[in-house]
Amino acid sequence: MNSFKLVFNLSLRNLWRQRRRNSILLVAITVAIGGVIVLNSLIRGMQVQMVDSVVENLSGHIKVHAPSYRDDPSMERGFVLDPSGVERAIEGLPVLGWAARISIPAVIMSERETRGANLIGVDPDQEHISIISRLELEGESLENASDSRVLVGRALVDELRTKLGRRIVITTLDSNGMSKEIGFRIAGVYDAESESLEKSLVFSGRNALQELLGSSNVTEVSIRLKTRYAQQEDFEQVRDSFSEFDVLGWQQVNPIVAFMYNTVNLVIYIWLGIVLGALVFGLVNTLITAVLERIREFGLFRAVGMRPRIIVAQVVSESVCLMLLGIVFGVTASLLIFAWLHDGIDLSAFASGVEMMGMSSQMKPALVAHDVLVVVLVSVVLAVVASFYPARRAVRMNPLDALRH
Amino acid sequence: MLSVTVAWRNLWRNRRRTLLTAGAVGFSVLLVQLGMSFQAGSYEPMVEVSTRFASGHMQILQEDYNDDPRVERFVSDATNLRAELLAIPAINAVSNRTETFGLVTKDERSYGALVVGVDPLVDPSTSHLSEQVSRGIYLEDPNSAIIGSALARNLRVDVGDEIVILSSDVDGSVAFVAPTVSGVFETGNDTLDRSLVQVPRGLINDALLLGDGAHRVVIMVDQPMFPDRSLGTISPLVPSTASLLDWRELMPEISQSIRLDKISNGIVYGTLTVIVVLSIANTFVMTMFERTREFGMLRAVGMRNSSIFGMFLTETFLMWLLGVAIGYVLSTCALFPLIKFGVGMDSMGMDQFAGLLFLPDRIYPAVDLKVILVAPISIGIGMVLSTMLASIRLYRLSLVDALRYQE
Repeated sequence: MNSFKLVFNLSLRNLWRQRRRNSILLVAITVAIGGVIVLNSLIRGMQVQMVDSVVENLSGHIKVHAPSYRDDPSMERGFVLDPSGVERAIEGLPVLGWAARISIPAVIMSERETRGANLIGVDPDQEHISIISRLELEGESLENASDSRVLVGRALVDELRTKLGRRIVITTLDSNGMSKEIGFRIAGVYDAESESLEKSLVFSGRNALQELLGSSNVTEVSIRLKTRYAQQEDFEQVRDSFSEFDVLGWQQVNPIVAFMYNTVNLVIYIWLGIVLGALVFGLVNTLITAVLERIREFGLFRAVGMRPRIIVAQVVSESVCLMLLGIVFGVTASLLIFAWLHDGIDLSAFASGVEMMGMSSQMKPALVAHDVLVVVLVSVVLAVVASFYPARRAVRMNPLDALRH
Repeated sequence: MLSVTVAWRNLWRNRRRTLLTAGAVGFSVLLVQLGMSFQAGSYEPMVEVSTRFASGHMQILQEDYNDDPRVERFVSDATNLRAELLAIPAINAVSNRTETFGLVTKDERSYGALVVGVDPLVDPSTSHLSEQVSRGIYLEDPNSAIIGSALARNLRVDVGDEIVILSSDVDGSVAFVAPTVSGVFETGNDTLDRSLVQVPRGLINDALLLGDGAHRVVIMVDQPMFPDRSLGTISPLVPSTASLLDWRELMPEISQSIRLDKISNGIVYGTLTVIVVLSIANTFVMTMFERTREFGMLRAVGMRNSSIFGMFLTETFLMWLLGVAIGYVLSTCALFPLIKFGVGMDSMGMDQFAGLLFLPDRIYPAVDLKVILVAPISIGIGMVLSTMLASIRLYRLSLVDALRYQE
C-alpha cells in the first residue's frame, strides 16, 4: 500500500517536472478524447433521431398487415379488426398504445389539379402514438373515427390550388377493387417537418372511410412501445399471436434507416480507432524520451534498492496519470460542448439532404454513457500498453551501466 | 547544401523518434487520402446515376414550373430549341419531356401516376429507363406506353393490354389517351415503379393540346460536376419566359447530402490533423530542450539565431518529406487495387438501396490534386507552426544560460 502511494506521488512530481512537454501532450489527449466523445454523441443523436422519427411517423415499433398487402396496398388486402385479439397479442408488453388504420393509395382532385397521395383512415383517439396527434393544424382536427372530413398537408393543398374548407374529390379502389370517387371537405391543413410527408399523406376518419368504401376492413395495426427500441421477445410475442399475418418491425418497414442504424455502431469504433491511433505516436514518442533521459536516475534508484517492478510501475503510472488527467479534461470539454449544442444544430440549409437520410433538420447530440465508458477504458489501456515497452527497456539495463549513461 | 546535410544527419541522431514522428505524418496522410479519394470517387457516379433516373444534368423549364408544375406552363417550339442546343459542343444530348399527373385506369381499377411523354428515339440518351424494361419492349408504336412494375401489378395489367389515362389539358378540359402497354419496367426505385408511366410525346401532346411544347427540356453535358462552365453558352438560347436549372437545383437532396458529407468528413480530417500536429509539436519541444547546450555551443562559435532556426526548419522540412513519402507509399499500395477493381456496393450491404439512394453498383476511389495535396499541406503548416513554437526558447535563452543548461 505504501509503495503504491510512493509510486503515485513520484509519478505526479515527474509529470510536473516536465510541465511544458506534458501540457502539450495533455492538450493533444484532451482534443482526442473530447473530439471522440463529441462526434460520437452527434452520431448517436442522429441515430436516435432516425429511429424516433420513423417510429413516430406511421410505422410504430411493430406493424401488422394482411399477408398480401405490401404487394398490393388496397382495401381488398385488409382484414377485419378484432380489438380483443390485439389486446391479447400485446398483453404484458410495455405498450404505449396501438392504432388500427386504413392506408391506401388514392388520387386527389381539386377543381383545378390532380395529385396522387396515400389516404389514411385513422381513429384520432388511438393516434396519441403517432405524429398525427402532434401535427400543427390550421382549421380543425378530426373529431372521431366517423369524421368524414380530411386533413391535407400544406404542400399538397398548395399544389392542388385549393384551401381550407373547400371540397376535394378522392378516387380510390373500394373493397371490391372498383374505382370509387368520393367528395371530402378539408377540415384542416397541417404543417409537418418534411414536405414529402405533407405531399403524400391525407387523413380521414377510419369508420367513415369504411362506410364510404363499403368494407369493415382495416389495412394495418401499428403498435408503439414505451421503450425506444422493441425487444426481440416483444416482437416475437406479437408475431406468434398474429401468425397468419405479416408482422413487421420498424427495421423491415424502413430498411434504409435500419441499415444506417447498424452502420453507426461500426462507425463509432472506427473513429475511436483512428483518433487513438493518431494519439499513440505522440504518446510513445514522449514516453520513450522521458524514460531515456532518466536512465541515470533509474540506475540510481536501482542502486539504492528499488525493485525493477516498482520502476516499471512508476513509468506506467505516469502515463496512466497523464491519460486520466486528459480524460478528465476531455470529458469536461465534451460535456461543455454537449451543453452548448443541447438545443441542436440547425441543418435546415440541408433540409432535403437530411430528409433523404431520414434525419430531422435539427440535429441533437445524444450522450450514451456506454460510449464514454468505452472511450475511457480503451484510452487507459492504451496508456498502459504505450508505456510498458519503454519502461521495460529502462529496467533491462544493468544498474551500473545505467549510472554511467 | 551543407545545411541540408547537417539537418539530415541531425534527424538520424535520434532514429526512433524521427521514425515515429514521420510515421504519425504518414498515418494521417494515408487516412485522409483514403477518405478523400472515396469521396472524390463517389460523388460523380452518384450524380450521374441520380440524374439518369430523373432530372438530367440541366433543364430548361417555363418559369415557376419546377416549384408549381401546371400543365399550361410549357416551353413551346421544343424541337427547334433542341436542335439549337445540340449545336453547342459541351452538350451531349437533349430530350424534350412533357409531363402531367393522370388517372390510369384498366377496367374498374384506377391509380394515380405521373405520365411522362418522351421522344422514344431520343430519350434513351438521357435516361436509363429504356434499359430497365423487364417485360415487353420500349415505346415503338406511337400509341404505346411503358408502365412501372408495381403499378402494373396493382392495375392487373400486362403487356398488350389497353389502359386509359385521364388528365386535364391546357384549357382545363378533360383529356384522355388510350395507349397499349408495350412494356413493363422495373427500376428498383419503389416510387418510380409504383407511379410512373411513359408514353410517346406526340400522343400526350395532342391530348393536352400542347403542340410542340415540352415541360422539361432535359440536357446532358460533358462536365456535370461543373454545371457553371456550360451556363455561358447555353443561357443565350433559353427563351425569355423560361429558366435554366442544373441538377443542384433540380435535385437539392443530392447536392445537399454531398455538401453535408463534405462538411462532416472535414471535421473528422481536421480533428485527426490537430491531434497529429500536437503530438509533433510535443516532440519538437522535447528535442529543443535536449539540444539546448548544442545551440548554445553553435551560438558561441558565431552562428546566428536565425541560422539555427533555419537549420531547425530544414530538419522539419526533411521530416515532413519523409512522413509524406511514407504516407504516399502506403496510400498508393492501398488505393491501387481499389481504383482498379472498385468496391462493390454489395460488399457493404448497400446494394439493396442502390435504386433508392441513387448509388452506383461499384465505387472507384478517384485521386485528384486535392486528394494528393490537402493532407500534406495542412500537416506541413502545422509542423512549421510547431517549429516556431519550439524555437521561442532559442531566442529567450542567453548564450551563457544555454551553455550551462543541465538536463
